[in-house]
Amino acid sequence: MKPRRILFVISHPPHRGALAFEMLDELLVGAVFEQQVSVLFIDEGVFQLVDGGETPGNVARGYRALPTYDVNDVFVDAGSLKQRGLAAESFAIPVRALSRTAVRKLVASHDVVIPD
Amino acid sequence: MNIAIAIHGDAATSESPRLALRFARAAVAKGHGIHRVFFYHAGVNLANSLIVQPQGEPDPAAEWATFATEHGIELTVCVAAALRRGVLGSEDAARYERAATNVSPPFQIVGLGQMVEAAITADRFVTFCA
Repeated sequence: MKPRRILFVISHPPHRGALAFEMLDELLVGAVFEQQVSVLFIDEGVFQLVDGGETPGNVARGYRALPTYDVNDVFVDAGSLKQRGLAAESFAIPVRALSRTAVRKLVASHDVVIPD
Repeated sequence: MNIAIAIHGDAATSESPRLALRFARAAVAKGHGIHRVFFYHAGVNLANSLIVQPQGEPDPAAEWATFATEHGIELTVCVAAALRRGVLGSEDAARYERAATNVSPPFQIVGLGQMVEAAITADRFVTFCA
């Protein structure tokens, strides 16, 4: 069977209990199943990429594992960064910033979209 | 069309189990098939048979159980999310030496792989967030 293009959409902030880690788990299982997995961080979800260092519950460290799982399509909504005064260069992993128009195209280009 | 559903919220803190059930009823009424429902995040609390809803209030867990039994739908619950929230099948209760088990059919504890498998094989995968 042809691998599906699965897009995970992360829109919740980190430090909300297990939510962020459970999404990361699901995403990694998708990658282990050899699907074509991408992830988009949008709205408050962009804070999940800020490396909180040794802070307990720092999910950004977990996202560093993505390349190991061959997940290289990591996107952020540029407007969400701008609104929060964040810069993609400060994130734990390399990301590609997209305009809202490009985000719409990204969503439309996937077979399955899984929000958090 | 074969539809799989993911439910991320529980009855106490979210509308998602009820919204998902309304969606599922409408889909089945239109002739679509629902193969599997996957309870993830707080959604695993629907499988907790110790939860008691006040009289006269909706009981989405009971409604889901009835609906699933009528239509042959699998109600699957993520084991890792369930353990975190004290939702234990008999195998897990034994393995982690807990005094009680609170999951009974038609809810079944499965691995996260079952959810991903549903996302891969179903024609549509619909998520109801918390």
